[in-house]
Amino acid sequence: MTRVLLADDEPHLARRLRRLLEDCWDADTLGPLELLTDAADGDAALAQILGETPDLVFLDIRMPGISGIDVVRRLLEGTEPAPVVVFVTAYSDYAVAAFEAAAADYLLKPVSAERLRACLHRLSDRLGAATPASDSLRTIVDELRRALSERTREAGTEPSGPQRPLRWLRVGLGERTELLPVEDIVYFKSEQKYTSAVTATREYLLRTPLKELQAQLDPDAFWQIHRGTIVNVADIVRAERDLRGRYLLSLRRRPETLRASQTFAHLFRQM
Amino acid sequence: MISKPASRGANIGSLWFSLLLASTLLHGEPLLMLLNAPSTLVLGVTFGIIGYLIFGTRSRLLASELQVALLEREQAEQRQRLLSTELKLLQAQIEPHFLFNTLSNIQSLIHHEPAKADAMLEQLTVLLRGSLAGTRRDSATVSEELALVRAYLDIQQIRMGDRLRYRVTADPGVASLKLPPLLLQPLVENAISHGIERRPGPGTVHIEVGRVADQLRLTVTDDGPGLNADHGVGQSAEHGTALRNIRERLQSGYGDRAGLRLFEAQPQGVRAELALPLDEPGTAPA
Repeated sequence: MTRVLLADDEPHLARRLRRLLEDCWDADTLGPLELLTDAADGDAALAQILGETPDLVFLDIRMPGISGIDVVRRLLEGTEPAPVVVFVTAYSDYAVAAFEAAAADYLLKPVSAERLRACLHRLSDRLGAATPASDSLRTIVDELRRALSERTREAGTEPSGPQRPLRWLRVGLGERTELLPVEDIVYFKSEQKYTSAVTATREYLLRTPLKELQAQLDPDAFWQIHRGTIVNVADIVRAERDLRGRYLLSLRRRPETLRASQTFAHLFRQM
Repeated sequence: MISKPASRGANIGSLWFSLLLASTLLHGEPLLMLLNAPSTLVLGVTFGIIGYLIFGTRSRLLASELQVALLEREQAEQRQRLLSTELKLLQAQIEPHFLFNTLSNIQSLIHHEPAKADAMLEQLTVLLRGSLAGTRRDSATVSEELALVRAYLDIQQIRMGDRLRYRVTADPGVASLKLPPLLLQPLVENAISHGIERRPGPGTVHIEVGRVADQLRLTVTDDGPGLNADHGVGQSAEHGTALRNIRERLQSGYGDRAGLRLFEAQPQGVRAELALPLDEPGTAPA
């Protein structure tokens, strides 16, 4: 008996894969097929894998809640033996490259019967094997995360993870909270009780202290240049030294200049 | 990127001045042996000042030339960005992930629910035709843009089953107003991919179009997990790109008179507000 779980948030696609599996399943090599109830999101998939211990899981990558890749990552954090996992993904060049790199089993949507048969054929050895799938899965997930984060960096965003820099600033405006992309901020300046965030056209007051903000910002994109000032590096057009050796910064999107204190002058010395 | 031509010029000037002064004082008679010590000092200072003025002025000139060059480069870069924005816009309209997903759904439905498959194919045709037309012209009417958005949402609704609900609210009299094509649709796509697709359980997208003073105001609100809840499978990159593209198009078309702002929706989700001036030729009543 081989217990199989399908996790996909799109009901029609899950149903089609279910039908295809029933058609393509070779009970002689794989044992009789038992299909569990489909999981409609990442959290449900994780719960079902832990609770019903399927032998084989077809896992969609993009799902509500946690992603397919994170489902596997969390599985590996536990001590339970992991099932054999086949990732299912719609066309997307980076994902395919990542799966190729990780030597993971994956199916592209729309899934063809032929491709599914080939996939099941390859899996027959592993499904029968006594060794847990965890080891190979661990390598695959590491590789996938590496490949995907490389790809996201190329696309101009930050890698995921707990240390991921802040991308959206929450700014209170009366009853409403505006979301500002951090790249809109030219500089942050510490005021008495507040921090002001200055964009090309406006100035916003934040309750977050400058120090706390600094810890959340991408250190390559924002530099502290003074005890009370953090500047968007992309906005610095010139750094000029005054008679006392301090640097004055001219900005791309603002007319005023900012002064860098001696402590942070090293940032500009080589420029 | 960063230079300091003015201070470098000033430094050379003062260096020259100091050298002259020093050599004059130390050797006593470096240039003109006819002169005695006090007048040598005067001469040194004079030369120093002249040198400083010459080099100082030159460095200022250099600085302004550099600024002109910088400005020109910035303009060239802006043109380049605009061009690539247009190109990206073209590609973004038929996002491969969405297209293949829709085709997979049609394939899944075709045998067992042919009527649904048929409807989906029809909406996909409307969407593709409208998108292609949108990339080839400068303005569209509100009703054309809403038809496109409805086609897109209908496809997503079939895809996601009961998980997606949507509402379109348009003030009377806005239907024939003009706006740049394909500004609204990427906002709706974002609401789906960052709001509804990430939210376990059903969610709602609400689109509102109205006139507020002399502005055409378009808002898209979702009740998903919000923008900082990102699970990093490459979606954030698409999201950021879409918003940047819209902002760049607004900036190049309207300068500061148009804007896209994002707010937190209550109790959760994101509200995107797009404001366009009504008095523009692009947005004037047809």
